[in-house]
Amino acid sequence: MQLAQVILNGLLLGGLYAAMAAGFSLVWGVLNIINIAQGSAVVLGSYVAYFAWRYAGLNPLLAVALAGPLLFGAGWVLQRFLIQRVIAAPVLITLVFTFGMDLILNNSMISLFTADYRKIEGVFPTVPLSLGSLTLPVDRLLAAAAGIGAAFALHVYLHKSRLGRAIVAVRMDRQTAELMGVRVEIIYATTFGLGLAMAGVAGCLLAAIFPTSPLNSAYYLHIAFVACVLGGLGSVLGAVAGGLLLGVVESLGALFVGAEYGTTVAAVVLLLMLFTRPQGLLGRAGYE
Amino acid sequence: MMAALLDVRNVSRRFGGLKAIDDVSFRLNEGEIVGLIGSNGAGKTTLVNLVTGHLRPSQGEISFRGQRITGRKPHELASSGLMRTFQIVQPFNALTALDNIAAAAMFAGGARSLSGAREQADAALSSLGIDHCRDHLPARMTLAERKRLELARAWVAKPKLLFLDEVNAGLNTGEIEGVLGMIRKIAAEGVAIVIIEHLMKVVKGLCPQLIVLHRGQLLASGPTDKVARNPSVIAAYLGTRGAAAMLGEER
Amino acid sequence: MTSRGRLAIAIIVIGGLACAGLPLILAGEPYLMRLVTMFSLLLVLAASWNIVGGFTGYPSFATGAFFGLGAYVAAILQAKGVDWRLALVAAGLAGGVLAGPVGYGVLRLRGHYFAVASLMLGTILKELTTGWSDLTGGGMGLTIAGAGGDPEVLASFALRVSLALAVLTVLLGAAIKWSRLGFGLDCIRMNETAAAGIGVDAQKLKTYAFILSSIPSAVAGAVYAGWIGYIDPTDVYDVMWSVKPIVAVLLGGLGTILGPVIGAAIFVALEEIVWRNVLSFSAGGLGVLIVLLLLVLPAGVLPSLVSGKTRS
Repeated sequence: MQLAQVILNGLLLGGLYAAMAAGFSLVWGVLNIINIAQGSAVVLGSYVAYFAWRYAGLNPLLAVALAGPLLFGAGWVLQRFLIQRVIAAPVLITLVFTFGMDLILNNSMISLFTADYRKIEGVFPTVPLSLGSLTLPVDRLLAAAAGIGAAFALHVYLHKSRLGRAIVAVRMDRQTAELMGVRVEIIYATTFGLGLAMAGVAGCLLAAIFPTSPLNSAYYLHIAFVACVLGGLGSVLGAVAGGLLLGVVESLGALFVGAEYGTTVAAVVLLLMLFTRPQGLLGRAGYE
Repeated sequence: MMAALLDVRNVSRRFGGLKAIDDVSFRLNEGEIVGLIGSNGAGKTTLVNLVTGHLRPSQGEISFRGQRITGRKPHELASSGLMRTFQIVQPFNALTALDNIAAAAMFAGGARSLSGAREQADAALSSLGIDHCRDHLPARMTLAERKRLELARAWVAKPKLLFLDEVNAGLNTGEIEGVLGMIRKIAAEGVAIVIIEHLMKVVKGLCPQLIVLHRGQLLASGPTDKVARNPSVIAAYLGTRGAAAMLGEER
Repeated sequence: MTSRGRLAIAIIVIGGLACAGLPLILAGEPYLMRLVTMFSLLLVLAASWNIVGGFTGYPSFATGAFFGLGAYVAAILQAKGVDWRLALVAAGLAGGVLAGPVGYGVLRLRGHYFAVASLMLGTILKELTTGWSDLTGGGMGLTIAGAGGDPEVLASFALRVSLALAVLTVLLGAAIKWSRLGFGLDCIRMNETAAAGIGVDAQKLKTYAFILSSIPSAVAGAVYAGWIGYIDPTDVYDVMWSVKPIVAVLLGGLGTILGPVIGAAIFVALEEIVWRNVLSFSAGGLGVLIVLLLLVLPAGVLPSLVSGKTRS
């Protein structure tokens, strides 16, 4: 397969990764917690899309209108009444806490839906588009575009809307923001809601292309991590950059080292990044 | 000529585009007490961070006791006799005052055992007048006591050179007098001291020498009288009133 | 005698009695033997994690990486005919040798970055193990040579070895905590900058802690491999091997010597009593435990019972 095609495939994948990473990066940057349940939240979004398609024939790309608000609400409530209690605790505690949340969510999905893979079929034309000698599968193209679009929408929201700007203020300097009258608990809840909403959106987009199962959640979390660190924390555009880069790195890695080493390549890149430039491509150093 | 205790040569430090310290040079001999003054943001703490190893110079060289120390880590320097206190005190919050000091005696001071370190710590507690805090946790101590604890922790390692970063911040007049007494005692033992200070009264009472930083550059250095009369120092930092106060001339 | 001396003697005596007595008492009770063996292995992992996570305050998720490494080193060596004792030692050495350079690099990171990097170790090792199938059997796993034979004998044997390893690891923790190294690690935990300022070579001490922590974890993996008789990457490199020890220590008391013991006991008891009855949701049950624990008793059982004692 020619190099250009591999890179293109990587970019298409990266568009999805961007959506997965954007919300994760926001939560990490603003609340300073790593949401281990992110991967499972993405899977939950996938299930929303799957069942919407199965029972209502809804196109997964449209299901984002369902999954987004649903997961936003869930995230808002979860953060406000549960996570807020441990928000100031050391890294160890918050990590283990969100790990516990992930166990509950993931195993609930396994109990409810079983671990069987569910695939959405027949929604997109199977004949790919052509760009010169390159092929562009329609479903991937649309999903990648939607993914990057969603991330950009989030970015615009953060910088244009009042609430969004309050979130950015809290990220930059919590104490000052508080002094300025920002209600930090509301900001935290909204931010976490947005993070989960993005995960839900990403899940719908993934469901359009890939089979859905709770078994995927660790892999999705892994992607979110790596894309974030690559692109820089707390920066939505960074998550986009990181996601795209990760997609390309994974594709190239599969080409040169073998597809079974995809995760290793990503992990090694992550470690190298952490050692040399922990603030990522676009981020700011210091947020541990 | 006797080698200087501390020799800072053309040291600069850049943060991105900003030059926080710009080509600063000065020397310090054994037992000297020097005041490091300048307005906020002049780079005083950055300079101390550079000399004590918390930051690496972008350019320049630093020597201590004849050895090149540029880029060495703080813990190595601490063991070689270069200690500092922090502007915002940083005690070990789960250790008693005794053990806070014993830790320094053990690691920087080279004490062989915990009991040996604790003996040295007891002596330091006495010297600094905080015996009564021996078994207290820092949370239970007043700010003045914590400042003395910080001082004791630096002193117990028997440093040759001690950097004090605004050790009087937040203290009232009486407490300041007390701390000054402690500093004089330490200096009397031959420890060279560089003290970052804003209170001119303190600087005047304690420091025969001054180094003035302004926007990362060395504005002036030398005997206090001369520096206080330096027009650029007066213009940039002291003001005519401040200079007069420094020289003991009242208007 | 100091309270430390008393505690040390208590650990040695009780530990010794347990090692000698439990295998005899539990003979013929395979279920209980399995339970106590799991408890011992978890205790080894918890006590060794405690060195880096509790004493030093660095949230490591690398325990599973060393556990898996030890399991595979021992399994591969035994497949080549090496005696099991040597295999255990080799496993421990492998862990220590890997932990040195890796630790040195990873420990320059702090907080979340350190946690993520330490987690990646296991991921990388798992994939490398799966990929190097000529040596490791890849995804198909590896059967441990000579692991067959009388299950009773094997069970008793595994119990004795894991109990001994557990006692040794708890003693290792105590030895570190009471030593100069432990004092330094405590200072690093409380304030790494101030620690550097008073002469603590943080990078060196942290690396020592990481190495010392990796060795028992790797040996535990080797014991597990010999006990179960068959390993595969998904099993021994499972992230749960990193998380369960942390939960155990959080249960019992972070940074204490007996915390891992109490925590591991409570954990295994809960796991057996509560979740085996709710089979499909058992991991979810662990999640509920974690959430409840961290909301209600964030300091763990031991420190909550004993009100704040300063360093004795």
